Amino acid sequence: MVLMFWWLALILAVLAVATVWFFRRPKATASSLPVAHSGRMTSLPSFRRAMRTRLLTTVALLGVIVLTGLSSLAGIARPAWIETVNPEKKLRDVMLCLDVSGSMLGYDADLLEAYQELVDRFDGERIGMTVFNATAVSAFPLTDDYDMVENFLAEAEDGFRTWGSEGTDYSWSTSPPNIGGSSLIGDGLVSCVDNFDRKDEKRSRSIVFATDNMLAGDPLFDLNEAADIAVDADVRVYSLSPPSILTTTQTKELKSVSDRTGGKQFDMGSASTIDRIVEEIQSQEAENTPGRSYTIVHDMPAIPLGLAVFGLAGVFVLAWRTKS
Amino acid sequence: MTALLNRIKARMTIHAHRRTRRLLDGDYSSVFHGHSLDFDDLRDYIPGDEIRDIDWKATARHTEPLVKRYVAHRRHILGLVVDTSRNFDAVTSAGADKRHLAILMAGMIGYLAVRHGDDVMLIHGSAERTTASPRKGSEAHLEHLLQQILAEAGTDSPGSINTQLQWISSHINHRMLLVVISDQAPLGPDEEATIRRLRAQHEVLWITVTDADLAGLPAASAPFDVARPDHGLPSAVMTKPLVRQEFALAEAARRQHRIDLLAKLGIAHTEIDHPKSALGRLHTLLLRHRRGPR
Repeated sequence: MVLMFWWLALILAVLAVATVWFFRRPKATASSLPVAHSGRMTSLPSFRRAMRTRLLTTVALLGVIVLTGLSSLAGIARPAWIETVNPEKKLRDVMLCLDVSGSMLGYDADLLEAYQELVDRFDGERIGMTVFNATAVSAFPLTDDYDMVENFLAEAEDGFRTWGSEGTDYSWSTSPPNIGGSSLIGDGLVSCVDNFDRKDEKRSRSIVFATDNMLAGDPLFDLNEAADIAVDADVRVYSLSPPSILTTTQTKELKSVSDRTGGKQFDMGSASTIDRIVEEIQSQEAENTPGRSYTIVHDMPAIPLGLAVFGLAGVFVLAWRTKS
Repeated sequence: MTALLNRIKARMTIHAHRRTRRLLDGDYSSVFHGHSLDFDDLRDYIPGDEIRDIDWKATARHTEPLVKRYVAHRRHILGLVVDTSRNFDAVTSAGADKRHLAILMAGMIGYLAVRHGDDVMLIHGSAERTTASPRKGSEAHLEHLLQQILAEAGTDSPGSINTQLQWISSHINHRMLLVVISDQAPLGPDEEATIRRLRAQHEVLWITVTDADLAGLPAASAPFDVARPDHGLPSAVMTKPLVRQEFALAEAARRQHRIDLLAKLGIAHTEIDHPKSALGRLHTLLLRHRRGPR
């Protein structure tokens, strides 16, 4: 709630005060009439009553005039509610891409918790989640319904914490018996890239890719091919890998994939990881889609101007009453 | 220096033809009821003379009525008692200036007295101070007295005729003809006691200069009370019908009270609001005094 033209109201207020000051009624002039023993009049009860009535009317008139003036000034000052809208955020899609292979099962619950934190920080972006092992399953498509997103994430987290006895169990659905192998990283990434919709629109697209990159089996796409597809689709891949002393090669590979697509590689586990991911994604995306936020002004003149109209009517009525 | 008195004399000449002026002289001389027994001479009767002064035997030998004239064994003293406070810097009910009206009334009576060969003195002042002049019988002295009344214009002392009356009762012990020129200040028990005491010793005549009708002032007149010159009076409120009605009732009650009180005390009284009625009022006053209860 701000006053857009507060300076105009200020100038008018000063002008009004100056006008009242200059045109105030002069003191008794030399042409006035001296009389003696005015106590004959001023001690009369009816005179006192009349004076009290006049005082009340005058005070009421003054009050109404001041109120009317103030509300007119408030109306002139253009009270408005200003909203800053950043439409670019609405053009961002973030796909959470989670590896649920056996080697990752120990981390997935924590990862989902981290995802939930991540979702809390987003504002306006569309979020989707795809889980993969031997095959990929779309947990939920891209959406800005964050309540639903959190429900899904919480249920998935429960599923992983209880090994499938509660919540949603993804490990079964992502490893159908007719597909050999597991942890087909490249196929998973391609599926994630493929799960972006509205491909004809120019949108900022990024993937948070949580995997340890422990390939077991024979994928259709290896990781480099998947990275090529991501680059072709203009999708940035931010990879998030669990800390492991043994996986330096895999981590490097992930890092190279992220770098090629314009993303970054993060290690899970440090407390500030989530912050850094959000910051990184948002700043990166801001760079990629230069934000042109604009301001919407919602004028709210109804109350002050309505008061002024009623006040003006009141001034006329009281002035007429005072005159008569 | 004799500007005021000349103007008063002119007014008496212009407005009263010779007959009326002599009438006033007769009025004035008959104010004094005590005659000395030393017969001086006879003169023509003028209307206003006491019937008992007519020398019927001499009149029978003459075509016109004749009046006995006596040698006054002492000069009478006219005491002009004038309220010269700020209350007299106001206007009368007819819109005239109270102070100038007071000067006119004092001047006319004083002139009659001087012509009659009497001494005139002035006791004037406000609630705070009373000033008394010496007694002299010259026109120059009378003019000086009138100038004193005028010189008090612009004072900021409140008025109280009781102060002057009490001063007289405590300072003057010879018999005088007192002409009190006051305004519509209410006469309470204190005033009544003072007047009663004075009445026992002196001949007292009372002239009330009527104050402005506060409920009938024109809207554009911007009235103010001389006691509070910085504050205007709300003429719009004062002329409201209800207020006007109550004011008229209160004024009538006060006026009746004053008239009744002065009548009860046996004091001739008249009200004056404008110079043009001054002569007529003066005649009425002197007549009332002569006819009043002895």
